[in-house]
Amino acid sequence: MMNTSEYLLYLSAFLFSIGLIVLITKQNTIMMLMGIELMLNAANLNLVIFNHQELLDGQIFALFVIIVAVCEAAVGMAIILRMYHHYRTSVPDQVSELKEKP
Amino acid sequence: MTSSIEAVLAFYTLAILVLPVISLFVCFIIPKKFSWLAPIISSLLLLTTFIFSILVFFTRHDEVITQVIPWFTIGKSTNMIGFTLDDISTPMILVVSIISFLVHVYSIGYMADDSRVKRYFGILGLFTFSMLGLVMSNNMLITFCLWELIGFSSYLLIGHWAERQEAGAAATKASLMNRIGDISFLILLLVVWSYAGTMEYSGFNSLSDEINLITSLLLFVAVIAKSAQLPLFTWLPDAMEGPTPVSALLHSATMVAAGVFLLIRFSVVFDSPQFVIVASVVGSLTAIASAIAALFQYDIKKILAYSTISQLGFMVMSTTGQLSYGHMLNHAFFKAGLFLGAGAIIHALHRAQHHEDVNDIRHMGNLRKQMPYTFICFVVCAASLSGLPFTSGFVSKELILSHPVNAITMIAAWVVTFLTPLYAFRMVWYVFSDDHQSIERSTVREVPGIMKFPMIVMAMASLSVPFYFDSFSLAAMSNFLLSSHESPDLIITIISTLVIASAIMLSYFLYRDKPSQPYSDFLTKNYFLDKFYKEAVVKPVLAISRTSEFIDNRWIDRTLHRIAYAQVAFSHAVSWGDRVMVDGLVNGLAKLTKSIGSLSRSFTNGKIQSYMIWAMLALIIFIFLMIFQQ
Repeated sequence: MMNTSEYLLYLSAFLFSIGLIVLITKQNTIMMLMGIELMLNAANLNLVIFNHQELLDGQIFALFVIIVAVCEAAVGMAIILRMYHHYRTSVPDQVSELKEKP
Repeated sequence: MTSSIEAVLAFYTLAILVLPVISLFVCFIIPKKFSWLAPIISSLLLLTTFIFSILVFFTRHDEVITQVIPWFTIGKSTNMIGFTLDDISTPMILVVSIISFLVHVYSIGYMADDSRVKRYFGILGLFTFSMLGLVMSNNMLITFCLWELIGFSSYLLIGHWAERQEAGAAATKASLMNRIGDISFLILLLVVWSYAGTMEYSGFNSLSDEINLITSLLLFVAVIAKSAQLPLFTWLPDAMEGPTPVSALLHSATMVAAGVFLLIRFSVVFDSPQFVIVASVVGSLTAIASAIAALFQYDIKKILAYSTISQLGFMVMSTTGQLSYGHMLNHAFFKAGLFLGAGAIIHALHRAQHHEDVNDIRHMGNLRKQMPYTFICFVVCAASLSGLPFTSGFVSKELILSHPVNAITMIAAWVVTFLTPLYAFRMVWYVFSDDHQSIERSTVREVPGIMKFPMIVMAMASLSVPFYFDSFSLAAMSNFLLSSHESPDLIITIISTLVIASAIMLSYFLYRDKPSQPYSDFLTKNYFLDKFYKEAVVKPVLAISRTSEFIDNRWIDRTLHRIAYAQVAFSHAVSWGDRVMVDGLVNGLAKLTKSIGSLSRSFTNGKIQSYMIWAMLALIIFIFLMIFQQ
């Protein structure tokens, strides 16, 4: 039993790392959102692993996280849509009105 | 003597002094368009001066009139400015003003074609003023100022034709030669001031014997330069470059007479035996040497110049007994007459378009019939110069011959008495006598009346002065002339007349045929004195100035350049230090701040992902710290 959860924790860390790398390296905002989703899911996985025997607190918490993540994705996609409308791009680096021009 | 006479005399004297100065100013103020008026106005002013001097001459009797007002005060001693009218100054004022007036009148004709006639007449006025002032001065400082003014105005007049290089050189030479005398005069002023405590003439009486000798010798050096005595006479022949009326004025009454006049003025005071010997030796040598030089000149004006030097030497050697005063006055008339005659001849030859050297007596001749008035006046003046009986020169010359100061002057006086008629009548034969080999003279005309009139007056003065000598000149001079000396000896009169007659005969036989061979340079070129001065003074001075110029260029300039270079190099170093050190420090600080700023700015570069990296990094560090703290 312990061995299985250990492997699952490795998987969770791996997932979190992939999410982080996607978030950092990808230029497109949508891809960054997907990275965030990956990281959230890694966290969910952790919650589920630590709580799957006696308590159900963690698993319910994971359900909440999924719901909030859906809301967050919806709001984020809306913001990205408006941004694309306004700036004709979804790359956050090119949205630099406040930064001094080199 | 009443005070009203004194006041009248003071007014007359002031008028005499002021009128020539007015002439000076009028001539300079008058517009160029009316410059023909300048000669007339200044001649009229000088005529008024002459009238006033006649008034002074006849208003004053035997008394000495001195009027002074305080001029300035140094310490306790007050310097007085004023004039003295006495037996010495009054006749001289008369002579100076009449000769100056006549020269003005003559110049109207002579300078008619001149373009700078305004300047000429103005300076003549200044010249006259300074001589008149010098004559009546009673203060050594005033005398010195006027002495310098005489030198200055003669410099301007000698160099009147400034476009001719010789005129400029002659003027400079006259001025430079006179500077030697001026230095001596200046030292004399210092000596008198420090020993007598006053500049007034009366202060000379209180000097001790040694100081008296020193001052007399200093004055004598000044007189040597001014009156063209032996070592320094070479400027006077060169001064012939000036217009001839100027020569007439300069040689008779003003410039050269100033020196002799001062000697006579001080002859009462300066009577130390050493001074008498020096004066007589220098005077005698000058008189004989220049009389000989006059025999070997062909330039008519130079003959007259050497004659003047000779006559001045004649006066200087006998000046100690005041015997030469009468001779100076008479000489003024006949020498001015001779110069005016020479000027008339030159003027007439110029008018007749003779393009050869019109000053050369070898080119003259045959002029007796063409210019009868000039001929008569010239001969009368030459006779007076020679000292023939019934002329003014005769009387004054007899006086000097009868009372020789010592053996030297006696010999010199007789030699000069013999030489003077020789050169005077040599000139007359050359200029006027008929000569078949000479060119036709029909184009030569007698000079206009305005030039004839002064000559005639001069000739009459040379002739007729002795006739009323007793009542006119001698009455004024008798106080110091004849009271101390008995009248001339009859024997001396006879001998001198014979000597003069034989000299004229000799000159007739020697020069009647007008020999025209050139003479040796030694006799014609001032006994090589000019050459000597050139070698001994001019060349060393030039060498010194060249050396100092070299030193200046080589050492002083180079040192200065080095200093300048060093300064430039130093300032370069300073500027380097400024740029690199000070500016570098400031700029370095600024750059450091800038780089720190850009470093700290680089964290907030506006890229969301880099923020996330940093945040993640911080989180990791935080977690590590948490783990390792336990």
